[in-house]
Amino acid sequence: MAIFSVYVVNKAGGLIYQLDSYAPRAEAEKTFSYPLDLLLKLHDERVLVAFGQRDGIRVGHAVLAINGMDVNGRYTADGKEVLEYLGNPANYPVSIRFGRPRLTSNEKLMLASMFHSLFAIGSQLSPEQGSSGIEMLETDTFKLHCYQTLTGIKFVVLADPRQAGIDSLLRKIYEIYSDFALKNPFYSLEMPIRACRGKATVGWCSGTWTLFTQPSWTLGPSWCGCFVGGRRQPCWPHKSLQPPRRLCSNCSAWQWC
Amino acid sequence: MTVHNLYLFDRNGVCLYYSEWHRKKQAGIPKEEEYKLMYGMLFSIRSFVSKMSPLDMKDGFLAFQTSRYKLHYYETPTGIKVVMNTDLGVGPIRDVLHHIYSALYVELVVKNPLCPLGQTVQSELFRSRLDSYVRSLPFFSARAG
Repeated sequence: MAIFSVYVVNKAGGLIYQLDSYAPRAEAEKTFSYPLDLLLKLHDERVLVAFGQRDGIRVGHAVLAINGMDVNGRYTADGKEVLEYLGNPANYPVSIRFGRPRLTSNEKLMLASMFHSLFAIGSQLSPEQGSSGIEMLETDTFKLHCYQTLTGIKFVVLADPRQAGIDSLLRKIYEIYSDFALKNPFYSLEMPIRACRGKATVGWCSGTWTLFTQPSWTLGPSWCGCFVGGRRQPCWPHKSLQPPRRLCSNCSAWQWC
Repeated sequence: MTVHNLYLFDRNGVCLYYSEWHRKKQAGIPKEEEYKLMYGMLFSIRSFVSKMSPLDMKDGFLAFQTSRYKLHYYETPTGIKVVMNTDLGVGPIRDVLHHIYSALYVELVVKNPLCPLGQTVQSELFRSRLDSYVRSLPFFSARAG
């Protein structure tokens, strides 16, 4: 049951909504001694493995953390340059975590626009009359499904290749979009959808796909919605800013966290 | 269930071979432009897929489908790309595309000292063998359906 992400693309090809629901990341953390037997290079503000594959570390993987502390692009958490730090034998032995780099927001924007164009080219190169654009793109690690509405909005879902029922999920997302975005009087068409309903995750409820949303929270002690002794009380485990209960858009009922 | 057309590209984007069986709609642009557009689209899809993928890929991009046709893709480590457009009812045909590469292209073109590589394949033997192979495929029906 794995939906990796959801993208909503407007008529012009701009990304207006993006949701990463579940990301299985293959990561490998290992301790290295000087000299490093992997070749690292700087690419796109990230330090990537250019050559050298061992123990789950592949070419194209990025340096995610050094000695347990997450790196910030090309700089370590302390502000030193990663390549300089790893070039200095005094810093070894060092424990480095490698993994597939996460997409930045800019990259997601670019990929969404790229898909918008590929969708149109797929329709132009069709050997048959009246073809739509790319509706399903298959690879060995994921399947991308796309639904284009009559108004030109595209809903794109990345899922596990064996996942079924994505067509109904796409229609459902379209319904939720028209209910929450289009019927919102303050929403401008084709503009990015601000998460006015707070965080959302895609899930399965009552035999159908649905979007779980949480109301946007305010800072400070919040009522978590837990009922203790018949009254709403701030319950200590949930004193954090994260609301514990989520609203299911399908049955419109609060679900226990 | 039918096969619409087949493209063969090399690593530099040169269209080595193209043939069609049941194509109802032309692209509306000259053939050279169409080959370049197809190659560019496949190149972009490959890069798109490698960025989007949540896990490390082994085979990469396999196929895509629209409401009317399905495009199957097979790429060798040397950069030779075999692309086949078929009907929607056709399942994974990676082994068919691999056979076209290994038993037809490599045997009849690469191993032929008179066939210059990197250019459009002129070999009549390759053309006829490929045609008879595609016509013998179980999902190819002579009547365009």
